[in-house]
Amino acid sequence: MLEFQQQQRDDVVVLQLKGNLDALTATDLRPMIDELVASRKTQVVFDLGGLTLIDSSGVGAIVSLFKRVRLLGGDVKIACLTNQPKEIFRLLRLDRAFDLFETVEEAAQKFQK
Amino acid sequence: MFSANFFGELRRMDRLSITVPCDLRYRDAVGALIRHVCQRLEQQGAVGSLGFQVVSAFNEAFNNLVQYAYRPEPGVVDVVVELRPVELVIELQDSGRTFEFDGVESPDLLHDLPESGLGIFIMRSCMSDVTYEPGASGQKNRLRMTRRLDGDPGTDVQGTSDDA
Repeated sequence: MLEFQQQQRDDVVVLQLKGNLDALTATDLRPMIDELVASRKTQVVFDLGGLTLIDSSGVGAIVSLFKRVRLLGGDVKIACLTNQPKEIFRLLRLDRAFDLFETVEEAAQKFQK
Repeated sequence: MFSANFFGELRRMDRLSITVPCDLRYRDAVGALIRHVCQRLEQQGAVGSLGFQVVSAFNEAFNNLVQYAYRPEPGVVDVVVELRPVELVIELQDSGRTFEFDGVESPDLLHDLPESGLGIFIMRSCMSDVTYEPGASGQKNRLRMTRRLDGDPGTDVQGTSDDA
């Protein structure tokens, strides 16, 4: 099960995910990703503090948004990674592509600089 | 020596087998069982990331069966969890389509950011050994994943090393 919530903080969109982002739920996220790209929201922070599990399909959804936003000149930042999702990000060397932050505030502030 | 002691003092678990429909809704139930076994092993001194890694590998293996082996026809999967003195073995048996497991190359994570094709890489990275035996006629396909309990998986998967 995946719950997600979208918040606007100035020019930054914060996507808060809770639960599992996996083969069963990743498709639920796709419409929101399409909408963000269509509306040219290019400063995005994923708040993954409530994410309990991610698999390759979930990673694929985040990477998809990242690539599309980068094509528009924006960026996607990751905040609050813990436990299994943190392990998967480390394993897949995603820290090379994404900026990782301990808090949403730190990630959002990075866009202001 | 590790013992999951799965049923408390009543019974020592050495081997557990469960058959479920090959449907993602059942994956998490079996995954929770495996996580429970791993947590017991972590309490007995196994490396702290054991549960994350073994469950991640199991999830990818199960996903592959749902998405490739049994598409579009549904089927069942037998999951065997076997505890040995120094390793944990997770085996998935299915009667679906076979695939060229050994022909799947690792993604180049140093120079690429793939959106797909990461499942087998995760399995190989999280476990110490992964083997796939396609079933001969009338036999089941067997994906066997073995994880050492005394440290990191010990695998050297191509695609992530800075020295490559």
